Amino acid sequence: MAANYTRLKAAIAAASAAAVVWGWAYFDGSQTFAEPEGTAAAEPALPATTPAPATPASSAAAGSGAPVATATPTATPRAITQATPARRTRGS
Amino acid sequence: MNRERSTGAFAAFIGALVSTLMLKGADFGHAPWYISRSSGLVAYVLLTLSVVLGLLLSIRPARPLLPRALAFDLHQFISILTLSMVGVHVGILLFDTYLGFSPAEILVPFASDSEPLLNAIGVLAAWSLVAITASFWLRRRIGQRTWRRLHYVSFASWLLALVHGYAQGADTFVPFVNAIYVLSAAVVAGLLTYRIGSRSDSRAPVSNPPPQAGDGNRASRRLASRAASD
Repeated sequence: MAANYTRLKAAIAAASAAAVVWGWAYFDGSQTFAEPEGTAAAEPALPATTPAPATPASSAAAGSGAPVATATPTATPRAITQATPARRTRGS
Repeated sequence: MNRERSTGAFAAFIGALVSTLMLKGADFGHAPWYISRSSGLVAYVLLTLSVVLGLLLSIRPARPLLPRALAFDLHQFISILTLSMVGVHVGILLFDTYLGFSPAEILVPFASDSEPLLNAIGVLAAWSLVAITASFWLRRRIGQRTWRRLHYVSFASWLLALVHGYAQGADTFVPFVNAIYVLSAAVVAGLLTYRIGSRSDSRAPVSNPPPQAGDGNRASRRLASRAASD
């Protein structure tokens, strides 16, 4: 009886922990965050097959001395579409 | 043995504190937000289970079905588990870089500038749960009567948790989450109504005895002294 009871308590604790992990995975899979205006998400995402844009920084900047914004070649579509939501837009 | 346990608990607390401070600056993406939501829901379900078990313990027809000592121990265990989940629900928000809650905002009612009332309701529910759970160990010290009265706060605590979850939760209108709220509210309301009804039925003849002259009870003495003073 006592052993069964201990098992019941262990099962409740394990089920609770499992439910938290399941909920985490569920919300992670179903979440759509609102994108704040003016972020990179407003731009169309790059297709996966598109090569990273080359940065002609060296040629464009040569001679002018003007600072040139350099694109990050490692930026992926996932990073672009998951921009930080505004504080009050969180939730769905 | 107690000293070893205290030392272990203290070491665990210090370890958790140091880890928290070390990880505070790290970026976990949306994970803390998802974990907070899921642990909040699990805490609410556990709190409902604990309230239901407590109500069943006090309802006469359910008593033969539950071995009293084991059911009481299970009720206490689920309460502690609920509090642990509330700890996760609240503590993990410290790592959420988007909402950026400070310790004061998650511990002090109305300290948060984001939905202050609903957050305050959640904070109050959590603190009342801490008080009720702590009372399990203070039962002898505070007395059975005070303990019982304090235990009635658990209904208010459950209601505050329901309002906090339903009104502020981002997942209220997910069908299964909505079903959890509706079902839990129906079960607790039903059991509570039954409990109040059965209690008033069983107490009615005892609690309102007609005061009679010469009766030695407190009510009649009070009536007699009032009549004498008039």
